[in-house]
Amino acid sequence: MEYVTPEGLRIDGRRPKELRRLDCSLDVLQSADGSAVFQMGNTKVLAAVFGPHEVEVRNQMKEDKAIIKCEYAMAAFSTGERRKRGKSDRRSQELSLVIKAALEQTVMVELLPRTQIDVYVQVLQADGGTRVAAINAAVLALASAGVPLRDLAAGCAAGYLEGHSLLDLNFQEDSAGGPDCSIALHPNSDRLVLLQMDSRLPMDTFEAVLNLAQDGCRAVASFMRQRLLEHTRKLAMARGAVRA
Amino acid sequence: MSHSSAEIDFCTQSCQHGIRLDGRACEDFRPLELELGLIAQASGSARLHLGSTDVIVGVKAEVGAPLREHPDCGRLQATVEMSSCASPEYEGRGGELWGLQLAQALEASLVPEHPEKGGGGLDLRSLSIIPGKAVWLLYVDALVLNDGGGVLCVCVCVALAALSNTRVCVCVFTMGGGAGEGDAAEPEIELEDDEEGEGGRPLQGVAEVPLIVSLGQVDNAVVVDPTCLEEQCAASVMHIAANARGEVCGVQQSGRQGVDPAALVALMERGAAAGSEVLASLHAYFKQAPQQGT
Repeated sequence: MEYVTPEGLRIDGRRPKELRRLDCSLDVLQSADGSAVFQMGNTKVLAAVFGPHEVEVRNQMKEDKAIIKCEYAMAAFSTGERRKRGKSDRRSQELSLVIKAALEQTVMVELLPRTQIDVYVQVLQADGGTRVAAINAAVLALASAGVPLRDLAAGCAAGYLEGHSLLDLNFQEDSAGGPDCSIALHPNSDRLVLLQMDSRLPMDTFEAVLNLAQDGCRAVASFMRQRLLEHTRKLAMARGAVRA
Repeated sequence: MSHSSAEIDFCTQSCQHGIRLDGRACEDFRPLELELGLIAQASGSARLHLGSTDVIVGVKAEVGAPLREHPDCGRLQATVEMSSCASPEYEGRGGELWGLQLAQALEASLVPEHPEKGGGGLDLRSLSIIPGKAVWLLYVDALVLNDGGGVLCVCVCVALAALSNTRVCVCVFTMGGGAGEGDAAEPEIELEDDEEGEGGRPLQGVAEVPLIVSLGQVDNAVVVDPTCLEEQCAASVMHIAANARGEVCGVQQSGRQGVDPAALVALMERGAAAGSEVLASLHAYFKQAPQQGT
């Protein structure tokens, strides 16, 4: 199968260094303190944040910082072939930990000692890049819940197929077996808070892929920032704090 | 979600005076907002907000083997998952039991008890491809994103909407040519490309599916479509399944104090009337809604 045509087009018609269409909406759920839907092409992820609130299990309480709980679940209809996967399957649990680790570096946990923040991520449609989309959705939900953040963490994946570095792999490209590098970046402080690549790859290729993924992250971050600003402006206008 | 005793008192008293906290009359439903075809990868999908209750349903159609009891009927399997996004109490295996209970009711509502005889729900006979060998398997997966009361009613409404939006491919099958004599030639199934751009044919019998309406009995007042708080005030909640002709197809009682059998018939009639009214407006909407392919 050909992943990049001689004209330089990918299966879904994108150029190698092109992101899929991004979309997001904030505060979509009633009972959550903050929530967001983040969409990258056909990948669609919902995140909900509850808290900061009292720690439920007393001995998990940290005197000097907040603890973050994270749960990643996939809807049964989210994948191409229907599959009922519980929240407790191994892939979901691994992803919960990965997302939690990235969020712990993003939230200013030291400002909220003795509290707990629950982050729930629900994948509605899966088409590659669910872990980075999950991080993006979770960060937007945290921001809309008013949790203090060090920086916006924006995630993006990049891979390498047939001699091309490709940005933001979809499911078909993801399952082609090439290297896949998922990262999340703090764009202002320029720090990586998630880095996963599980493949053998020459150093210089890795560098090219990593740089591409970082550029992707910056683009995603500026999109997220713009949407957050628009949302906040709308809220401020509704309260009469700002005039149109 | 639990409420304080003061809240429950306040709500009970207002219901007695025929006033509901959200300004509805006793027989009103909450405002209903429906979105069709939002999950591109499913054969049919819908999302419904009824007040603050929010449920997404995705329907997936797959080819599978029929059950031995009904060799010429398709199959339908419903699941309901309480998403943790609704509330932290559903974390882990928190909402599992309730989900199972809801799924059972949903499945009973969507398909007739004896699919080979038809009637009273989706026509599973029309989902047979090769009798005894291959049938369409419909998976109806509901995801509850917020529980503001009346989840069962919403699950059925939204499953109905998703099924009305579902298209299954037209199948052509050929007996495998050149197979040796005596061998049972394996039929090959081909999914026909859709030519009309409709994405396949719609399901039959969607109009026959009954809707479940909940009625809460708060002291001597009866409220249709109770919210979470009203469910907690109610002495009993009746779930009444009614079809488009206003016939009662099923009933289930839940609550804390039981229901008076003398009042039952009046309650059921009220539920059936409300159910057929909502069904009529839903089906009118499905007809004029743009038909999305899959």
